[in-house]
Amino acid sequence: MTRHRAPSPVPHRTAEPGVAGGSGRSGGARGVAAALAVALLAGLVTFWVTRPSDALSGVPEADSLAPAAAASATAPAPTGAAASQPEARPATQAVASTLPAPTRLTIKRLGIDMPVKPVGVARDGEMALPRTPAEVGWYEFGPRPGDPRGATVLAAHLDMPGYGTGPIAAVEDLRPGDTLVVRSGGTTTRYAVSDVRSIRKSQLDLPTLFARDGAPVLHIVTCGGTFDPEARRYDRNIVVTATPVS
Amino acid sequence: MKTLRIAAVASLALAPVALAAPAHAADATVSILHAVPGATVDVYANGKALLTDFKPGTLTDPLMLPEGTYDLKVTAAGAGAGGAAVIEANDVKVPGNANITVVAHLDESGKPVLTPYVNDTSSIAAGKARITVRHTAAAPAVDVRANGQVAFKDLTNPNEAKADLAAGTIKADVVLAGTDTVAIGPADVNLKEGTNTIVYAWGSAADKNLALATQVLTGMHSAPGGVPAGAGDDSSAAARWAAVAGASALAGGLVLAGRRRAAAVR
Repeated sequence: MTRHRAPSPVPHRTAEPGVAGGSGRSGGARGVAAALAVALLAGLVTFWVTRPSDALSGVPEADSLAPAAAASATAPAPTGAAASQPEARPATQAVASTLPAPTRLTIKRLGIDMPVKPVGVARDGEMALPRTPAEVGWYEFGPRPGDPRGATVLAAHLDMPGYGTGPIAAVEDLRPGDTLVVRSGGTTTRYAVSDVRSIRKSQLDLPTLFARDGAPVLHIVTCGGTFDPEARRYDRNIVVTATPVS
Repeated sequence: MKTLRIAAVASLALAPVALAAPAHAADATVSILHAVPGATVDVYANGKALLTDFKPGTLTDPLMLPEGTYDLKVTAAGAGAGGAAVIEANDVKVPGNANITVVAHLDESGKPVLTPYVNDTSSIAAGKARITVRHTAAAPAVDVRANGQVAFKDLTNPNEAKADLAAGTIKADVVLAGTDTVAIGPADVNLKEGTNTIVYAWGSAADKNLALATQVLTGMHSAPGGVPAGAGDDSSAAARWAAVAGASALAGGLVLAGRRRAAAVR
């Protein structure tokens, strides 16, 4: 005959609390439930507090770009009535005398000093960007710094797995009047910030952002808002608008 | 001249009618290319001098012409409005809002003709450029090659072909159709993003003066579809989940410890 060990009258608290017997059982279960509830609550609070939205809470949200760039329609300088004779010139390709491409973006106050690389269009039709957040992409089909018309567009990744957050994230701290410097080889173009906006991607006025006409302007673009880990996309763009300082 | 006139009218009629929507008389954008070798000419529209001293291989700036019907006449330079026509095309319809290039050139047999071409100014996807090739030379059918590959096959006078390609510079040449016999080129052609680069093969094979002329129409660019400037940050995501787990464990542990102490005291 084996003797059953008598249940201990005192719950064996050093063992797993959930299997404690006797009168302590209901109290132990309550304790576990309370602990789980508090753990869950703490987890939820942490989840909420650390949510990845608005690292850029200081940036006003907007649904559109500055009312910059006028209508993009350009009348190609009509020569007027048929009476006035049009100019005729050799039917050869004009040798485009272009300004140098931008090579460096410097924002002293924010400690930003990043190399700029020309980029075009990705396979999906969106702007292509340098893979690393350490570099800025310049939209090579658009105007260059110093061009008399249109928007020079510079964009950099806010972050990237394996890299972390890039230096461009600091542009949220720009204020109107701050100075941006773009170097293009040996040429330097200075800009003054006119505004910084957080714009929902679905509302972004792309033809204005990439305008080829209108007053010369610099647009610096990165991402902001909430990151959707499924789509691997942020839902907003941060757009800095700056005008050249003569 | 009658066949020419019909060809001219038919060609212009290809201009999309929808473009001529506004009720008021709309202007058409008209450029004129002189692609008849050796002859400096004057051009008359409805009896009035439109262009004088117009030299081969030259292209006019775009000219705004009210929509309507035009009688066009090309004479030897200085011959006057009543001078003998080198080329004549009557009742040429110019539809409003269309972008047209009227080309004075040789037909396949070497006779001077006028062909109005309607230019494609529809918008072009971001990063792309449009190329249009037009056979306006006294020469047989040709193939147009880009970087050594046949891009447009079996093109005959006065027909055209076009395509939207990635922007950039291509090496273009013109060969006799189906052969590797180069008739013109090679020449570097810069296909600038958002433009329609129109390349004309002109001149005469028999006179060995075949050449390329180029016209560039701008302003058809589109913006990219977006700026995907963030890809997430796994390290911060991992740190976040670690914080969540840590806070949960800590809070749960504190509650358990507290209750245990309370029970022990009881």
